[in-house]
Parts: sequence; C-alpha cells; structure tokens
Amino acid sequence: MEAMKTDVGEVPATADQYLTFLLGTEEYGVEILKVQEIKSWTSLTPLPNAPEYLLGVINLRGAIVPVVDLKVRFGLDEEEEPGNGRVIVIVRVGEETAQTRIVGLVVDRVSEVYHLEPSAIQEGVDSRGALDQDYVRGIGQIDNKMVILVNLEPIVSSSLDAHLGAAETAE
Amino acid sequence: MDDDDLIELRALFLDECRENIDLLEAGLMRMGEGEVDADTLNEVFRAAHSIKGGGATFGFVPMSELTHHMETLLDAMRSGRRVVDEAGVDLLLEGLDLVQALLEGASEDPATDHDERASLQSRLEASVGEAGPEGKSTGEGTGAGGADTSSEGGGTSAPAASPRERWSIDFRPHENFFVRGHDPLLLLAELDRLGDCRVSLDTAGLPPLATLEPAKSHLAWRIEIECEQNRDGLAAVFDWVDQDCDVVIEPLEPTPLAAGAPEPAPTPVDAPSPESPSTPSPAPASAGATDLPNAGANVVPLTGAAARTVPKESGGKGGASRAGESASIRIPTEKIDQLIDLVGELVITQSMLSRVAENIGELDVDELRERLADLEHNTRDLQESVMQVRMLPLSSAFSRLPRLVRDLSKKLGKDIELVLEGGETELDKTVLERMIDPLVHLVRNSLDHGLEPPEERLSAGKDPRGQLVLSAKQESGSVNIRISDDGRGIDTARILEKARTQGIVPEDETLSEEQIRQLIFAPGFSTATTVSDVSGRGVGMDVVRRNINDLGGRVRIGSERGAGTSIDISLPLSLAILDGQLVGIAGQTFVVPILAIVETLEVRETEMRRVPGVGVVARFRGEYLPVVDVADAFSLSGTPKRELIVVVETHGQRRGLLVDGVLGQQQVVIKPLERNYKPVTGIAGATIMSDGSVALILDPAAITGEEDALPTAA
Repeated sequence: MEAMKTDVGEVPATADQYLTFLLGTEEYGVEILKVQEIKSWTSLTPLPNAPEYLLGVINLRGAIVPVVDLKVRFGLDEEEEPGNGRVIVIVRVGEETAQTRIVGLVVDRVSEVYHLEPSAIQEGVDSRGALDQDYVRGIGQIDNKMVILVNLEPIVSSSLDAHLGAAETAE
Repeated sequence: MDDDDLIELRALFLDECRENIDLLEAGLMRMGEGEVDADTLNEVFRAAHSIKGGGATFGFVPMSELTHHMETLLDAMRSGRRVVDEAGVDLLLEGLDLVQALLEGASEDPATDHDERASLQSRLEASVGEAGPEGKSTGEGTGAGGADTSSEGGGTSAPAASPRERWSIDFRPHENFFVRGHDPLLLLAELDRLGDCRVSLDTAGLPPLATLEPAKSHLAWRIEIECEQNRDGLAAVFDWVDQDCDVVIEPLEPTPLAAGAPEPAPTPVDAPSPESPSTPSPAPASAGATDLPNAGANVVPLTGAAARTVPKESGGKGGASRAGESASIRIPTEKIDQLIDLVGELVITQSMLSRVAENIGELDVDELRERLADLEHNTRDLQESVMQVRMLPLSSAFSRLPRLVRDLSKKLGKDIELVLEGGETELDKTVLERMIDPLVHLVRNSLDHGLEPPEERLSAGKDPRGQLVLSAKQESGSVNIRISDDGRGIDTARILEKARTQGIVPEDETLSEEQIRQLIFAPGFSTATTVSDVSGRGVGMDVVRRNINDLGGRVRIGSERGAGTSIDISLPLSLAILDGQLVGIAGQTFVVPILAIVETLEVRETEMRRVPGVGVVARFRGEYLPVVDVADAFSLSGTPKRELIVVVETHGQRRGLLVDGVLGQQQVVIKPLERNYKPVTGIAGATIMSDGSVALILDPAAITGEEDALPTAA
C-alpha cells in the first residue's frame, strides 16, 4: 500500500490548486483539498449487483472504501484492462455537511498539481457534451492545455446513491 | 473564562442536570411507594437544589423558578413541616416533567408553557401549606435571582423533626469568583433563608483602592447560622460554586442567637464561639469538596463538580439520558485501570518481540513462538476489556419503567405491579440505548392490551393486581430479556381472522401458533378495536421487531389464553463482533454468522429438484428447503462450484445457501458498508481478513427471505 504524493514544492495546498489526472487522452482536474491520498492499484472486493462503474470496495487502513471507475462512469472508451498501472485517487467528500465519505476514483494516470486562478477558469462551457453539466465546474487553461475541472460531490453522490441493488448502465 | 469553557461547562451542566432529574424521579417514586427516610428526602432535595442553582447560572430562568417552588415543597417535607403524601408526590412528579421539558427546550408554545408553569407553581405553593403538623403556610421564597437579605423569623413553627443546630461557615470566594459568574450575595441570601444568620465580613484581603480590580473578589465572610439543616444541607448551598471558593462548615454550641442584619463593620473575623478555632482556609485545591459526601468515589470525575452525588447504582450508568443517545459515557475507574494494565502487558510483549527481531541472527524459534502466543493472549484480553468498557447495566434502561407503569396504570384504571429482575446484566451501550424505545413500547402494549382491569381479573379468579415482570439474563454470547405478564394472553383466533381481513395472510394458508403470534409484528397490524393514544395504531410492533433485528437480535412471543403472555428478546453482546463461518462462493470469500447456521449438506448427497413457482429445493429432514444461489443472485463474476449447502435459519424460516465450500471459522469485526457507501441487499456488512482483503458478511434474514429477500435459485 504505497501512497504516491505529488511534489507541490513549498506552496501549501490552497483552494485554487487542482490535482490533474488522465482518463484516456483527456486531462481532468479535482480540487487538491479534497484529495486524501493516491493509492496504487490493489485488490478489490466486488459488491453484489453493483453498476459497472462501481468496481467494489477496498481496505484503506481499516476503512471500507467504495471504488468508482471514472472512465466507465463518464462513458469514455475503455481500451485498457483495469489494473494496468492504473491508480486510485482517494477523495473526501461531504465535509461541509458533516457527512464525510471517503471514495476511491480510478484514473489512468495522475499528472500534476496546478495552481489555477479563478480568472483562468472558464465556466459554463459544454465539454463535448459527454459529461453532465453538473459534473463540470469549468475548463481551465494550463500551458495551452485544456483541463476539465470536475465537481466531485455530484459525481460521487450520483454514483453511490442513485439506485438500490439493481444494475444500471453508466450515464 | 472564554467561550470554549462556557460551552463545556454548559454541556456538563446539562449532563448533570439530566442525572439529577433521573435521581429526583427515582427518589420521588420511592417516596410515592412509602419509603420516606431522611436520606431519600435529602437526596431529592439536593437534586432539586442543584437543578435550581445551575439553571439560574446557565440562563434557564423559568426552569429554575419552577424548581425553586419544588424545592420549597421538598424542604417542607424533609424538615417535617409537611407530610409526604401521594398528592404531594404526584404534584412534584408533574413539576419534574415540566422541568425536563423546559430543560430540553421542547417548548412548542411558550405561552401555554408559561400558563402551565404558573399554575403548577401556585399549586406547589399551596401544597406546602397543606398536610403539615400545624397547617401553617411557610410562605414563598423569592425567585431564583432575587436577593432577599431580610432574615426570616426563626422558630415560627415548632418543627416536627430536626432540632435546630448552630453552625459556623467560613466562606472565602477565590479571586475569580465573579468572573466565573457567581454572586456571593445569592449564597448569603440562601443561607439566610435556611435559618437565622449572623454574618460578619472579612475585608483583610482587600488591596488598596488604587490597585483594586473590581472584577476580582477579595472579600470573605463568616456566617453563624442557626437552622434545622445538617452539615450536608448547608454544604448543598455551595454545591455549584465549590470549585471557586473555600468553605469550612463547623458546628457551634447551640446558644440562642439574636436575629439581626449583617454587621457592616469591616473588622477581621474573630472567633466568637468557644468551640470553633479561627479557621484558616484550607488549600484552594480542596475547595469546598471536603464537606461533601464522596459517593462518586468509583466514578472517573469529569470535573470535581460532576463527580459528586452519583449514587452507587448509577456508577456505571451511561450518559444515556432521556434525551436519547449521547456521545459520552461514564465508566467505573476499575475498568479503565484494567485497560491500562493490559496495555502495559502488551507493550512489554511488544518490546520482547522487538528484541527477538534484533537478535534475528541467533533466532530461537521457541522463544519467538512463545512471545507470539503471549501477544495473542494480550490482544485478546485487551479486546475483551475494551468491549467491556462499552457495557452498561440494563438497570439504566429499566429506570424509566416504574414511573411509566405507575402513570399508565392510573390512567387506565388498572392495578399493576412491576417486577424488575436482572438489572445488573450488562449490554453494549448502543444496543441498550436502542432497546429503550422497544422496551417501553412492549410494556405499554402489555399494560394496554394484555393486562385486564381489576374487575375482569377478579371474575376470572385472578388476583386483581396484575403483574408485569421484566427480567434479564446473560446466556453464552447473548443477553435475554423477557417481558411477561399474567394477563389475558393472546387470542390467536382473532389475530388470524384480522390478518386474513387485512390481506396479510391468504385465506388458504395455515399457520402454526407461533407464526400467528409473530403476525403481531406485521406492519400496520393491530387488533385493538379502539385506538387509544397509548397503543393501537399498529405502527409500533413492527418497528419494535425491526429495531431488535437491526441490533442483531431476535424476538419470540409465547402466550397462553387467560394466563398471560411473555415476549423473549435475545440480543448479541456486541454490535461490532460476530462469530463467522467463512465460505467460498464463486471464488470469493463470504462470511455467514454462525448463530444462523443450522447444518451443512453436501450437494451430491442431497436430493434436489426444481419446483415451479418456488425454484430449486433440497430435501432436508423430510422437508423441502428452498435454495438460494448467491453466485447468481449477486451476479458474481467467478465460476461457482456449488458443492455444499449451508442451511440457514432465522425465526423459524429456513433456506439453503449454495456455496463452493466452507473455509474456516473466525471472530470477525463488523464494518458497516453505510459509512462510505450505502446498505446493500443481502449484505450485513464487511470485514477485513488477515490478508488485508475485504470479505462481505451475508445477511441471514435476506437469505431466509424474512426481510429483503434474495431470490431462490431458478
């Protein structure tokens, strides 16, 4: 169980910093403050009748944490077998409402931590229409790259709470 | 004192207030039963006094005022000026209910509350003057914040009980007395109310005016009081402030005192009486606690204030106040000491193991084995001890029942005796707290439907006094609670009829007696012909059973027409740990609670057939048992071998569970899935295996189809 921490230098984590990761060729970003740790691929216990994107649960130092495959969840092409050097980003959601949950998100690779001024973020942009508007906070520009910044809470709650028992296809 | 202190103090006050309310109720109940002794009366008085004082300090002024009136009545009772009769006790109980409502802020309509309180207060006042040896009203004290410095005329009525004694009280507030929110004047006024006082002021501590800080307290007082109080009663006046002052109470020769106003002369205190030496203040650390009974000796004190007045029986009582589940727990110091010892042993074993590792070159395998065995031993002891810490005696759940039975039987016009047995049996705190509502409901049900009114009992040849027995017992791994009455018993015919009418049971289905009785727990079911506000709405019993099942427990009903009914509840000793049987299904490891397993059958030796409409059944002891194929029901990805059937039973329902094979048995720590995910049908939780992987725990009720049923094999 290794935790791979991306080097941020001397700058402490702030609300304007984002951890970026790759799903296929697209780069996405999440607020660094919500990221608890990054875990390398580990054995999962599948849950009965779970949707395709809910791969199962893992043991995170004694806590039972559900793991969602973001690529499947977002409906992107999946060429690789899960587990091929893929990485689990452990995030904390719901802290504001005191109903904190810890969830793992499977991504292809983790990139860097970037600082993004609010002015560099374009909001309300429809990113190819593939993602539900609620899930996208905006598009950021980093070194001429486009990074899709995602809203964690809606993604997590829709993935975990949506249904009870019956299998569903990804959105 | 900053905000955090205030918040903490207030939380402490609320906790202590709730305990005092419980104490008061228990004491009043005893008084109502005729147990009128000095100890009980004093205990009750002090509880009321504490509530009053604390209430005023923390802004619960209406509550404090109400309690003040109760205190006046209680004072009259304990000094003998008024006898303890049922009417008085009833009035006080009524007052207590309102006090609790005010404390918990459950007010929906402040205007009604105010009227209710005013009415209660005047009734309490009136009651003081009744039923006394001389029928003389002692008049009303001032409100909680009042500063009444006029001394009451002493010796107005000849007291029936205590003789008047003389005491000398040396009262030295600490410098921070005012800052802590206290006012010495209130204390002096209180003393004055209790008897005839002569107060002298000691200004020796006053600094020069130029350096005087008004917020600091520099004065001290010497009070000579002639009253009917004993030392405890006087010490009680300083209960709430004892951390912030030094109080020394000593007896004086009983010589007559002239009633008079406090002497204004700023002279140092001299020693007027031959008996009391000039008393230097004791070291501040011991404060006023020296004079207070040390009843809470075996309870871990949260602060000095909180450790007092806890009678021995509630030494282990949790903060499980009537307000519901609480986040704190009171633990006897012995349990903590034991934990400390065990951790100490664990540390020793660990360092011995480290040493073995250091000298790995010359490894002595025997020594390693021995140390590992020690480690296992230590860990198990520690685990048991820690679980013990969360255990509380059932008596804390039983405590509210006497009052409930008393009030309810009066309301229903029935004569019922409540017998409580096995209150010292211990249960996990969470289980206990969640059992309180079901127990209350079952008791109400028994009182309402089970036990007959006296006339009916007489004509049935029974004692007009009905009996309701609650008993608890620990039996290997579980705690059994039985609620039994000697009432009417359950009319199974009527229940079956009602169930058929409501469509719960199809016309052609026959049920055993036990199954019919279990129908009582069906949602929406009620045979009550009228809906009383006590029970009859049919929403209670199904919640009761669900609550019990959620805790991992079982409930059974036994009954005999005309003789009575008994409800047996069995609860696991721990919510967190379970004895599990590991099974493999489609290559995945699952855990089945051992308690639910009846037997294991080999597939190849068992006759199985497919029954249309039911699914696959296996022949078991002459019956056909529906079989659940978990691999299929859970859509598992591995290939199931289906070589064994584990027969699982809950509440008389049985099904077979198709597995690859059985692995080992082990004690398993239950980790709920809901923490980060949500409940999953068929799964009771998860656990972490020794290799670090996660194994899912199967829910036996889902397998047997009792609740959230899994489908049977097709």
